[in-house]
Amino acid sequence: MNKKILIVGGGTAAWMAANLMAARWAEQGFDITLMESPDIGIIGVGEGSTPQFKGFMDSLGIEEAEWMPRCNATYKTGISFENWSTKPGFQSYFHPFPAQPDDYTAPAFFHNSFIRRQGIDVEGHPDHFFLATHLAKHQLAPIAQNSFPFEINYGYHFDSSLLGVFLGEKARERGVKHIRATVTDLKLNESGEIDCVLTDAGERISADLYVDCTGFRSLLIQQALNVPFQSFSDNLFNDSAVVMPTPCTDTIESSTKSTALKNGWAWSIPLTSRVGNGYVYSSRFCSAQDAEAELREHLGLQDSDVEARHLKMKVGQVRQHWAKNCLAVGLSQGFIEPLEATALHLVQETVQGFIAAYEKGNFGDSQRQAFNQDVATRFERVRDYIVAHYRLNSRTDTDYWLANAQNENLSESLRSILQTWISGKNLSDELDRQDIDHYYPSISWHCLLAGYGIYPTPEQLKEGNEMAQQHKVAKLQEFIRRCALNFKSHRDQLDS
Amino acid sequence: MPSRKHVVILGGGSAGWIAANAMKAQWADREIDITLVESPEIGTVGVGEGSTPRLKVFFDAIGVSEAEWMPRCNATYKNGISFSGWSSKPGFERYFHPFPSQVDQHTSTAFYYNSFLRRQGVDVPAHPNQFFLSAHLAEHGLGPKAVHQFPFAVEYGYHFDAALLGEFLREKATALGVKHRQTKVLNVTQKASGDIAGLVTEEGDTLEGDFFIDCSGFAARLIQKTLGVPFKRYDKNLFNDSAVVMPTPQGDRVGSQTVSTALSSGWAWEIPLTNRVGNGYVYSGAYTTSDQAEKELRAHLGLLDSDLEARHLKMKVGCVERHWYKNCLALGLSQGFIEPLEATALNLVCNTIYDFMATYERENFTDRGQDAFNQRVTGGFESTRDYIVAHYILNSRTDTEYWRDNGSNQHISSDLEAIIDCWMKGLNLTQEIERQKIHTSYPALSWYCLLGGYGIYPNREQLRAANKKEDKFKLGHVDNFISRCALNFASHREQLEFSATNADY
Repeated sequence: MNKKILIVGGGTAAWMAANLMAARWAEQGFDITLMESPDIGIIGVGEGSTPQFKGFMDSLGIEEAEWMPRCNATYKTGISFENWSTKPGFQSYFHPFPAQPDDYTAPAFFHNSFIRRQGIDVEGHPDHFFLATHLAKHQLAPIAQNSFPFEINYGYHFDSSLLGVFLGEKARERGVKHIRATVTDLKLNESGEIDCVLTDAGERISADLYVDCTGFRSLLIQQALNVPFQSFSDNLFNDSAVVMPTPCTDTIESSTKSTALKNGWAWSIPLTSRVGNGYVYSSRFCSAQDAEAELREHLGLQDSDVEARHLKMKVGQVRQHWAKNCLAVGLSQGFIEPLEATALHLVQETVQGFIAAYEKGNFGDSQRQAFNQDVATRFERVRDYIVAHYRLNSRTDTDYWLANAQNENLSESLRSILQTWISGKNLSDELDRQDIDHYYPSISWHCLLAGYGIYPTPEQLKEGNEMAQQHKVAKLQEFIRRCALNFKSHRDQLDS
Repeated sequence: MPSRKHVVILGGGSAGWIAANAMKAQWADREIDITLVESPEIGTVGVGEGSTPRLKVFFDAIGVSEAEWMPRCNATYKNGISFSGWSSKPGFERYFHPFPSQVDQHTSTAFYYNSFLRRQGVDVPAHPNQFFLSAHLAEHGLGPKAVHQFPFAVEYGYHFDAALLGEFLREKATALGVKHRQTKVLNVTQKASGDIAGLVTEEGDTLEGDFFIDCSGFAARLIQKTLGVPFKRYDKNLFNDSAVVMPTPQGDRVGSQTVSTALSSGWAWEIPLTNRVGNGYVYSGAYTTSDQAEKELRAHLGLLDSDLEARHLKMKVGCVERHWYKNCLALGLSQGFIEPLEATALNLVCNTIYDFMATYERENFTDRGQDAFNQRVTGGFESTRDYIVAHYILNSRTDTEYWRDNGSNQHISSDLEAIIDCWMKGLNLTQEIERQKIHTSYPALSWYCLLGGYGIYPNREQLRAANKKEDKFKLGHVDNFISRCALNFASHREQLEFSATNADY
C-alpha cells in the first residue's frame, strides 16, 4: 500500500495532522506532502490545551524538555472561571484536570454536591476538593517529585505560531514534504472527488487523500466539495475576538483564567514570554471598538499603545468531516469556541480517529460514515459542555447574559443533564446512561454545575445530620495541602 | 443511669488494665467507680507481644501518644506478619500478610485480577507480596509512618513487652482514679438472682460491686468457676495447646514485622522489640513433648548450646458460651483464646470491651443488650478462629504427621468451607466474604493474601500462558509505584528514635 496524501494549510492543525500521519504511515512508504501558502497567515490563537495534548507529544516521542522551551510553553492545571455566576460564594470556580489523589477527595465532593441539592447545608463548592485547584491557587506546577508516584493530568499553554514552526521541523524530519505555494484552483473528477490542486507556481498536484487545513476558509471541504456547515450560532453567541498580549510576570500562573465581561469573556493565558489575553464576544451585542475598549480596561491598558488584533470566528461544524477523498481538520472542519481550550483536542481526536478508520477500512471509505458520526457527536457533546457555562450564568447586568441564560436552544442531551441535576438525581448515572462521560467526565460536570452554585438558595438550606456532614472539608484540605508539598513552584519547574 | 455504679475488675494483666483505662476514659463524666483487684501472687501470662492496628485505636481513644507508651514498653512497629515454611509449593514458601494501607487501592486491583485469573489456570504473577506497600516496608526494614508530604494512611500494629504494657496501663488507670487493690480473693459471693455480690478478700472484707469484669486469665474465676458458663473448646479445629518461650538479643536492624516459621509440630514466632527479640514455639502436645519442642526451638534459634532458660506455657483454645452473663463480663483469656498466630488476643479484648461499653450505655446500664452482644462476640471469635484454621488447613507440608493431620482436618466450619470452596471454584471471594458479613474480622484482602500466599492455585503444569489482554497489569509498573511510595518511609530504627521524642508523630 502506498498512498499519497496532500495536506493543504500550514497552521497547527496541518502540522499536527502531518506528524500523526507520518508517524503512523511514513515507514510504509506513504507520500505525505504539506502545502502551505506563504501569502495566507495563520490564525494561531489556540494557546491552551487539554491533557490529551501530552498524549499527542508522547505518541510522537517528543519530550517536554525539547518542545516546551521552543514554544514558550507553560503548564496548565485547569481553568478558573471568574464572575460567570453572581451567586454568593460562587463568583468563581476552578475546573481542574484530574489527578489520581482525587480518588480520595472526589467521593466527598460527589456526596456533598448531591446532599446540597437535597437542601442540606454542606460545603458544595468544588474548589475545596481537588489537588489541581490547590496547585493552581498556589502557582505550583503539576509535576510531582519522584516519591509521589501518582498520575497528575495537565495541559499546556504555548505560543501556537512557535508550535507550528516546531511541529513543521518534526514533520520534515519524519519525511513530510513541505511545499510553499498557494492554491489557485481545484479540479474534481467525474465522481465528484478532488482530482488535483492547481498552485500559483503552475503546478498540478494530485493525491489519494486531501487534508483540508485551510482554516475558516475551508477551501476544499466546503468550497470545493460543497459540504454544508451546521452553525452552532443559536447555541453559542460569540463570533468575534480581540486579542492583546501583556508582559509576563515573576510568578507564572499555572492555569488559564476566564473572566466574564459584559458581552463575553476574557482569557488570560500565561506563557514564559508574555501573557496572552483576548476577549471573546458576540458582535450582535457589542461592537469591535467597544470590545477593545472593555478589554483594555480589564487589563488596565486604557492608555497603552499595545496594538489589538481583531478576529472573526464561525462556530459550528461541517456536516461531514470526511467527504469523498477529503478530510477536514481544524477550523476548516469547525470550531466551537475557545472557552475550554478544546480546539487542538478536536484536531488530535479527528486525525487519530481518521487514521484508525482509514486503516480499519483498508484505506477505503467503508468506515467513513461511522467516523463522521463519531466526530460530529464529539463536536456536539463538547459544544454542550460549553453551552452549559452560558446557560447557567446568573449575571443580569447585560442583555447578552440574560439572553444566554434564557436560551432554549439546548440539545436533548444537555437538557436531560440539567434536569437530572436540578431534580436532585444522580448525575453520574445520567452520564453513564447517555454514555458521554468520555467527553467530559462526571467530575467536570459536577464542577461546572456546583461551581456556578446551581443549588437551592441559602434560605432553603437546612442543617444536615451527622451522616450528611460525614466529610470534613478541613481534613480534605489538609490532605490536599500535604499532597501539594510534592510540587515545585511553576516558575522553578519551568526553569529546571 | 439510675445511680452511682461500682465496677470491679478481677485480674491485673493486659486485659484488666485495658478495661480499666477504656472505661475510665469513656465514662469519665459518669458516676462510675472502678476498682481493679489483683493478686500479688498470681503472675500474668503476658505472651501477647504483637498486636493488630486495633491497639492504636485504643491508645488514640484513651489519649496516649506513641511517644509516651512505646519507649516504656520497648515497643516497635509492625507492618504485618510473614509466614515462612507453611507452604511447600514452589515460589510460595513464604508470604506476607500486610496490614492495609490507603495506597493499596492502586495495586490491589491488579492482585485481585491476577489471582482470579491464576485460579482459572492462567500463568500471571499472583503472589501477594509483590502487590503491597506494607510487604515492601517490612522487607526493607522500614517503619510504617510516612513523611508529612505523603498523607496516605498506612495501618500498622505494634510489638511490645506485655508485662511492661501492663505496668504502663496500671499507672495510667490509677492516675485517672481507678482504685487498685492488691489482695488475694478467697471467695466470691452471689445474690439470690445468681448475680455476683462481692469478692471476699484475704484481708477479710468483701468488695461489693454492681458489675464485675473477669480478667482472671485461664482460671476464669468468675465466669466459669462461679457462674458456671460452659467453655466451648476449639481443640478439634486447632491442635496447638502449648508454647515454649525464649528471648534472644536484638541486633542493629530492628525488624518491622512478625515472622512466623512453621516447625515440625507447630510454628515459631519472632517478635522484635527494641531490647530483645521475643521467640516462642507454639505446638501441639499430642505430637511432640515439651522437651523436644524446646530442643527444636533452640535449634531453630541456633541456641542449642546456650544456657538461656526457656519458659513453658499451656494454652486452652476456645471460648465461653456467654461472654457476658448475669452481672459479669469475661475479658481476655477468661473469655477464651484462639492462638497467637495472627496476634489477635488484644484485638479481641479491645473489641469486646468497647462493644460492651457501647451496648451497656445504649441500654441505659441494664442487661437488655446482652444476647445480641454475646452473639457478636462469639461471631468475632469464630471468624477469627476460621481465619487461623485456614492457615493450618491450607498448609502443604508433608514432613510430619502434625502437618498432614492439619491438612486433612475435617473439623472446619461451614463458613470456612464455603470460603475455600469459593476460591477453589474460581468464584468471586469478595462477594462471599460480604455475604458472610465477616469482613470486620478479616477483610477480603487478608483472605486473598492467605489463599494466594499459600499458592492455592492450579499446579504449574496446568497453567497456560497469558494472552495480551490477560497480562494487563505489569509487575514492573506495580513495583515502580510501590518503591516510589516507599521513598517516603524512614528506616524502622530511625522512626522509633523519632517517635520516642515527638508526641505528635
